Order: sequence, then structure tokens, then C-alpha cells
Amino acid sequence: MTRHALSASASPTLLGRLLGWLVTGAATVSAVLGGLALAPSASDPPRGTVVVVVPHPDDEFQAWSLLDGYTVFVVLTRGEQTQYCDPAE
Amino acid sequence: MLVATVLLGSLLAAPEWVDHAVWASVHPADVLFPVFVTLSGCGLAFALRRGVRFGVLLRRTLVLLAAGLLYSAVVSWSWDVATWRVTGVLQIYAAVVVVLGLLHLVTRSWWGWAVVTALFAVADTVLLSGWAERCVGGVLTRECNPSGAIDTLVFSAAHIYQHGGAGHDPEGLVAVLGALVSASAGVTVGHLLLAARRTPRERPPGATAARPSGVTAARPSGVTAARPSDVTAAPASGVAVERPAGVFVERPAGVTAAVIPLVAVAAAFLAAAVALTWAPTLIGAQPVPMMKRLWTSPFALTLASATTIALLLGHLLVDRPATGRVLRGVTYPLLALGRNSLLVYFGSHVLMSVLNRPLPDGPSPGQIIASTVAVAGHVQLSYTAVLLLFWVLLTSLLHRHRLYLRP
Repeated sequence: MTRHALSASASPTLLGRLLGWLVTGAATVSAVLGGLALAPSASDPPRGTVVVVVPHPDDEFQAWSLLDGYTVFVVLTRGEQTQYCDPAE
Repeated sequence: MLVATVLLGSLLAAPEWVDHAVWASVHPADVLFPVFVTLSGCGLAFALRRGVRFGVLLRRTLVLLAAGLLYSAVVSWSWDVATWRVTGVLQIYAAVVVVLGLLHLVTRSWWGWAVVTALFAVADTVLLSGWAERCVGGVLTRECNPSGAIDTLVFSAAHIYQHGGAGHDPEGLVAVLGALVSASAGVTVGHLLLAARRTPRERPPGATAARPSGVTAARPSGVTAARPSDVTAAPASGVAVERPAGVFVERPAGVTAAVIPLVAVAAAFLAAAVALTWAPTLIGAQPVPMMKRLWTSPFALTLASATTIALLLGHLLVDRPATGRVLRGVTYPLLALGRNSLLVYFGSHVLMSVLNRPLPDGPSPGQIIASTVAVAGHVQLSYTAVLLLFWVLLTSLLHRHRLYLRP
């Protein structure tokens, strides 16, 4: 056993272990809270853009329901009606 | 796991379903490193069961960090300091080693590590689901996730995965938290395995503690074990330990003693994965997806469960006291690979990175080698076999001379 080692018999006392658990818990909670502090707040504008590719215009309505709060979005269709979306035509 | 790493790395054209998932999914290539981290945690439980050597811990961490920076430069083939990637798999491994080492000062029991695993898993889930709540539709995307914000803030976009263009870093700080879940689960399994290998047998007070067969050492007279954890930390099997309330005799248990504890802990990991997936729905949030890109807790714990069962099967097959000569011969290459796991895992990545880089005026060195060694037109099969043979022969040679890559 080298002088750098903490052997089993020289392991931390009960108080030391309790402090270790406290530090571990506090560090974990701090890391989570710090990470959450960087999350966009409810008052912020939505971050990023979600592009939903839809084969039929009717389906766009489902996508719009997810886009609440966006001021700009792109519709990747030419405004065809559902009944005309026949690839054979 | 190491064989699978070499096999997947040798693919000249990896199918999309094999390669890393783009975002919220798990493909075969996503499984390898987390399994490696889980097994490393198990190995560290054995290595650190008697104490933590700070000098070794510090040296190992610094070497891993330095090797990680070198690895990033080789893989990206860029030595520009301004855009040098700081994060990476070796850096994750360094973080895991230092955290697990320090936490072994706090606890060296399997239940203590189960608590640590639960703590990290819950913290990871709270972070991810808390972030998801602020994203559009309550879903974590490449544009809205904690890794994109945290890793960019800490390291800057120039020094993370794809220079921040991917919106996240699969080996960033958020992934480190997920890796700690995997590694802690592995440590729990390791300490549980150590505990299962010993079966304390109580004797009535005052009875003479006769040595069981296989006794190799005994504690000096007058030494008392104040805590059950001291019993498990005994230096050799079969040590008679006197306790105030009686006498315990430790004797080595057979490999089957590990079956029930390891199956139980594997089931617990799986149950925790399911619980953490759906727990956010109780407060109206979306479930936490099982994905590698953010190394979520459900992903880490599910893999830990499967790894535990695989480890148990290997333990039952190989660790028996009377293993036959044939079985020893068959498993020798696996033993040699495992003894140099760091060399094989990271070495194969570096080697394939070099072999897959196209030459200025033609195909890559790997394609040239593959077409050269092809037998009966089986280019891929022959190339994979040659690479696997190379690593088996190299590690067998190193194992024969007791040479191991350990930072």
C-alpha cells in the first residue's frame, strides 16, 4: 500500500462518509438546477424550427397544432386539395 | 462486446440501421460504448474494493484526457487548436473514472452504489424532462436539448461535436451524466458479485473458529470487524473474522451464488428504466425517450440490465473452479482481448479512422487491403476476419508477456 492510498482500515469515518453523501447529493442537485437554468423560459420565443413534411394539405392542420407560438413557418406544399394528390395524374 | 466493436468498425459500408442513430433511437452502433462503460464500472468495483490510490487516479485521469485530445485530432484529422474538439469518448471515460474513484471513498457496498445509481438516474431524468417541458411540443429535438446549450456554453461551439452544427454533443457533459448512470450500475453489479462470492456463516459465541478448507490467511488476533463491510473487505477468502455478537466464517461461494442477486438487480434496472421513462407523464410531460445521443437513463439502465445478464452467463461459464481445458482454450482469445480492452476498443477506432480515410488519388487504405485479402470474392467477410485475427493475435501476444495498456 503506497502513501497515496486509502486502505480499507483507513477508510473515512462515519462523519466523513456522511459528508461525502451530502457533497454528492448537493453536487448532483446543483448540476441539474444549473442545467435547467439554461433551458428556455416560458416567456422566451420558442427555440429552433420544426419542419413537418406532410403529403396532404389536410395533415397540415395537425402540424399547426404543434406550432402554436411560432410566428414563421413554412408549408411544403402547393396548396393542392387532398382529392387531387394522385401520383398517377 | 470488443468483438462486436471490431466487426462493426470493419464494415466498408455500414448500413443505416447499423450506424449511429441520427437522434431519438438506438441502433447497434449506439450500444457498444455504453456496454463498455457499464463493464468498466464493474471492473472498477473490483479494482477499488480495498481503497482509492489518489496518485493512480490522478495519473489515469490526465492520461485519458490527453489521449482523448489526441484521439479527437486523429479521428478528425485536424490539428488546428482553434477547432480542436475537447469532448470525446475518452474524456467521458476519464470523467467516469475520476467520479467513481472519489465516490468509492463514500461507499464500497453494493447497496450504496445502488443509491448512487438511482441518484444519477433521477437527476438525469429531471434534467431532460425539465428541458423538454420548455421545448416545442414538449419534445427534445436537435434544436432544443440541454446538451446544445450546456456544452456550447462550457466548451464553445468550436470545440464540440461537429462544431455545434448537430445541436448537441453525444459525448458532452449531459452524456457524462448518462454515462455515470451506466457506470454506477456496473459498479453496483461488481460489488454485488463480490458480496455474492462470500457466504458468511455464523457460529455460536465462544465456539472455536476452525479454518475451512482453502484458508490462506487469517486476521491477527484481537482484530475485530466493526462493520459488515469490513468482512467483505477481507484480503483473502476463508478468513475467520471475530465479531462482538458472534463469529463469522467467510468461505468462497460457488459461481451459482451470484445467480439470484444478479438476476434481481438486472430486473431492478429494467423496472427502473420503465419507471423513469413514464414518470414524467405523471406531471403531464412527455415520456423520456430511450436514446444514445443524450444517453438517457432509460437507455443506460436497459443496457445495464442486459449487460448484467450477459455478465452472469459469462461468470457461470468461465469462472467455475474446474474449467475444462477445451473451454479455457476457446475463451483464451476473449480473455486476451478483455485484458487489453482499452487498447482494442479505442485502438480499433483509431485504426479504422486511418484505414477509412481516402488517399489523395484513390480509394482508402482499408479498401485496398480488403480487395487484397479477399478470398473467393468475399471482400467484406475476409477483411473483417483479417482485422479480428489481427486484434486477437496482438492481444494474445501481449497477454502472453503480461503487457497491458492501463493508463
